[in-house]
Amino acid sequence: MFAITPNSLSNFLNSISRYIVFLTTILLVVSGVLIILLENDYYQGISFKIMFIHVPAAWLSLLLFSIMGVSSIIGLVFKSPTSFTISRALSPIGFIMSIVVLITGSIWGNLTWGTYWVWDARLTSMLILSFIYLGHILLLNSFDHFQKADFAASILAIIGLVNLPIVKFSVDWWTTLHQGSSILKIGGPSVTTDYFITLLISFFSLFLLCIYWFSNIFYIIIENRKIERSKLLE
Amino acid sequence: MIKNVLKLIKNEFLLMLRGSIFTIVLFSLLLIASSIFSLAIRNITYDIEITIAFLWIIIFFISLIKVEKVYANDFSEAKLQQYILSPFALEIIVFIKNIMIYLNLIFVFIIFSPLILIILGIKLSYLIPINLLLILSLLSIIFISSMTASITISKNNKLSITSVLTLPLFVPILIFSMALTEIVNFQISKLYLFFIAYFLLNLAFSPLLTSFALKRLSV
Amino acid sequence: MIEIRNLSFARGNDLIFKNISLEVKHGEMMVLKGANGQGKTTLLSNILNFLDPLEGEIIYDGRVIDNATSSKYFLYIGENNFAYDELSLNDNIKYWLAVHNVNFSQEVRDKSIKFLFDELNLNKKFYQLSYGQKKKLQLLLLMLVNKPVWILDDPFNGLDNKTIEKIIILLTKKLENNGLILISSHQDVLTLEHKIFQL
Repeated sequence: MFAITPNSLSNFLNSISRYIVFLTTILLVVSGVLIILLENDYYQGISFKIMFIHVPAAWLSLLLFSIMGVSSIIGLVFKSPTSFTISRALSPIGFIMSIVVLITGSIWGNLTWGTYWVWDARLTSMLILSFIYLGHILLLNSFDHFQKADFAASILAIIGLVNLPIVKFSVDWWTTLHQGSSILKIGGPSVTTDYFITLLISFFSLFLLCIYWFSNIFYIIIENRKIERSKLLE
Repeated sequence: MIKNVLKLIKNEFLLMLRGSIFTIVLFSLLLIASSIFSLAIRNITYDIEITIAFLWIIIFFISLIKVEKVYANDFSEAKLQQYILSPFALEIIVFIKNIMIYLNLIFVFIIFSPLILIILGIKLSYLIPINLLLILSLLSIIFISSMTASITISKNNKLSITSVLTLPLFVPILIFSMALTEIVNFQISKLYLFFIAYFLLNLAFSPLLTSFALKRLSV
Repeated sequence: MIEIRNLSFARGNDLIFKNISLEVKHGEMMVLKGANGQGKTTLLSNILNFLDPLEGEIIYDGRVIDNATSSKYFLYIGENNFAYDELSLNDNIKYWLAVHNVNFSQEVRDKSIKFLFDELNLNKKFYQLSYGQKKKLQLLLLMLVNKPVWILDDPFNGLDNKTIEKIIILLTKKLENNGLILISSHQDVLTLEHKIFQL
C-alpha cells in the first residue's frame, strides 16, 4: 500500500471494474435464486432468509473497518497517501453496511423476538460501530484541507479498532438475546451445508459489490484532487 | 537530560495545581447535578447501578472538558511549536501532561467523593470500591480524551463538536464499569484486569497518536 | 546550508506561494521581506517542517528536513508568545529552558537573564508584563539554547531600541560562530550584512 500510488491503484481498479460488475451480477443472481429455492426454517419460517443479507453485511462492516484501521496505521507510519484514500473511500460503504445490519436485524428481531430493539451487547456494540463510521465520515468533511482530515480520521479509525473484538465476542462475553456465533467459531460452522454455501455466495456477491463501489468512490476522489491541484498550480 | 525531565515534571505539577480551580468548579457542577438528580428520583425505588451510571457519565464529561481545556491552552500554536522543536519527544510531553490531568482529577474526586456519595444516596461502604474503579477507568478515559482533544483543538477544524463524534470510543470503559457495579460489593474480579489492560493499550498508542495529531493538525 | 528547491504551498484552495528557490549557507543571514499575507511565516513553517508543501523540497546540509532534523538543528522564535500566563516569569524561564534541555550553569543563566531583563522582578506573573518584556523570554532562548540555525519571525516587532541593539549583538556573535540565520521582518533595522529574499 505504501509503494502503490493512488493513481496506479485507481487505474488498476478501473481496468478490472467491468469484470467485477459481471461477477457481481452473476453472484447476486445466483444467491437470489438460491435464497428463493432454499426451504424455510422449521421455527422461523421464511423470516430466517433475512440472514442472507444480515450476516454478510455484518461481516463486511467489520471487515471494512478493520481494513480502514490497518490502512490508517500504514498511512500514519509510512505517510502513504494511498492508504489514507483507501480509508476515506471505504468509510461510506462500511457505514451503509452497518446500517443494513441494524435495519435487517431490527426487522428479523421483531419477527423472532417480538421487538425491534433491545440494549443487547451485540446490538449496542454494532450501533456504536455505526456511530464510529458516521464520526469518521463527518471528521473527513470537517477540515479545510484533505490531508489534515485524513490524519484526524485515521486516528479515529485506529482507536475505533478496539470496538471490533467487542462486537465479535459480545455474544460470548455477555448473556445476550442475539444468538451466538454459528459460522466463525471453534469446531467449525454449525449450519447445514446448503445454508452455508448460500451464505458464502451472498457474502461474496456483497463483497464484490463493495469493491465496485469502492473503485468508483476512489476514482472520484483521485480525479477531484487532480482537478484541484491543477487549478492551484495554473 | 534526566535533570531537565524532572524539572519539566515539577513545572507541569505546578501548572496542574494552578489549574485545580477549574477542576473544583467542574466538580461543584457535579455536586449540583447530583443534587438535582437525587431530588428528581427521591420517590422512586432504584438500584445502585442507576446512580453509579449517572455519576460515571458526569465524571466522563468532566474529564473530557478538562482535557480539552488543558490541551487548548497548553498546546496552542506557539507552545506546540516549541515542544516540537524540543529535544524531548512530544510523546513524553503529552504523557506527562496526561498524567498530571489524571492526578488532578483523581485528587479532587477523592476529596469530593464522600459528599457526592451522600448526595446520591450511595452507602459509604462503597466509597473505596468506587474510588478504585474511578482510579482505574479514568486513566483510559484521559488518554483517549487526549487523542480526541488533539483533533478538536485543531485550528483547521470546521466542526466544533468533533469531540462528540469520538464519544463511542469511550463506551467499552463505560460498559465494563457498569458490569463491575453489577457484581455484589464490587468483588475483586477479572474485570479490574480489563481496565489495566485497556490502559496499557492506550498507553502504547495514545501519546503517539496524540502527538501525531498535534503535529499534523494544530501547527 | 539550507536549500529550498521549487517550493509551492497552498492552504485549502489558496495558493500562498509558488516555485520558491533559495540558498543560505552557514555564516550567512537572510531576511525574508514581503507585504502582509505574502507567506513569510508560512515559508518559515515549511522550513521547520511544521507544514507540508504542495511541491518542492527543503534540504539542510544534504538531507531533506524532517522532524528529527528540525528539532536537532533549528531554533525558532515566532511572532506569538509561548509562555504560560499563569506562571511567573521565573517559572516560565525554568520551564522553557528545561523543555529545550539547556544545561548551562546557573551563573551563565543568571548573566543571560540580567543581560536581557536588567532589574525586572522575575516573580511577576507573566500576564502582568508588557509586550516587550514578554518578548524577551523568547530572546533568552537565543542566548541559552545551542542550535546552529536560528529562524526568527519578526523578532524586532514591539521592542525598544536598546533591546534591538542587544538582538543585533546576539546575531553578530551567532554569525561569527558560523551560525545560519533566517529572519522575516518588515523593519529595516539590521546593520549587519545580510541577503534579502523578496516574497
